[in-house]
Amino acid sequence: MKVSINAEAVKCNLDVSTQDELVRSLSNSLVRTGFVKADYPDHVLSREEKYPTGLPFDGFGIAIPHTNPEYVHKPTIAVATLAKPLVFRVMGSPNETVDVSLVFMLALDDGHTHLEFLQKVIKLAQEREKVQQLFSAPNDEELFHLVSAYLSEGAL
Amino acid sequence: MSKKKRILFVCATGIATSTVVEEKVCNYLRSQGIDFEADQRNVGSVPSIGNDFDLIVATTQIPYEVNAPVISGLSILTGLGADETLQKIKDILAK
Repeated sequence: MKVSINAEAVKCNLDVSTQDELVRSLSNSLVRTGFVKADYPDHVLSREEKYPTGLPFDGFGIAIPHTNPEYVHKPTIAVATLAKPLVFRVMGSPNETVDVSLVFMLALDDGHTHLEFLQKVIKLAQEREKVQQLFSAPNDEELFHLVSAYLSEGAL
Repeated sequence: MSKKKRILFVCATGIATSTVVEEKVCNYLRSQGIDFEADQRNVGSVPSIGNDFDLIVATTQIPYEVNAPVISGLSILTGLGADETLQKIKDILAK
């Protein structure tokens, strides 16, 4: 399955202080290149409020903000490692929070492909060494290559 | 005569995280030789169908009262504590 990751939507050591800044920064190129609708970032943020997507893994946190298919033209994901951890509420336990330093912002359409995306993202997050590699990426391009490689690897 | 156990997988949208969790749980239960039926919905469906199930596994909060036990599927998503959760699921279904 071809995973389409927009290279401009991969940011290494992104320095943001709020979820708003994070989502808008990652959404910019996706809106511009026609992957998502202009109001996609607003919907991602409001969905995050209602259904938080913070996930605590072993020693780090990730978040998978996303919204409903109707705001997406073409499925893709934006990825960021954060310069400083951002607080997210935990999925299913909104009274808990987690410090997030790796974000996969998903633009899911209704097809079956998005599930494979999600499964691969989850699987990737479970592999500590790979996640460390992502955190150590020196620049956007390197991060893009790593993420593309990891997400297109093998069957689940 | 044993009745097939019914499990409901719930997430906010009914298509994303609940599917990931459902696959993992179903694979596990099959490997344990447990007979079951699974369904998958978004959290909004719970009030109308929640009580038809023996167990609910959710990756979102369920702000409704249901008779079935509700287990968080979070550990299955992250892998942290997944084994314990799977065991708990198996134990509940064995009752």
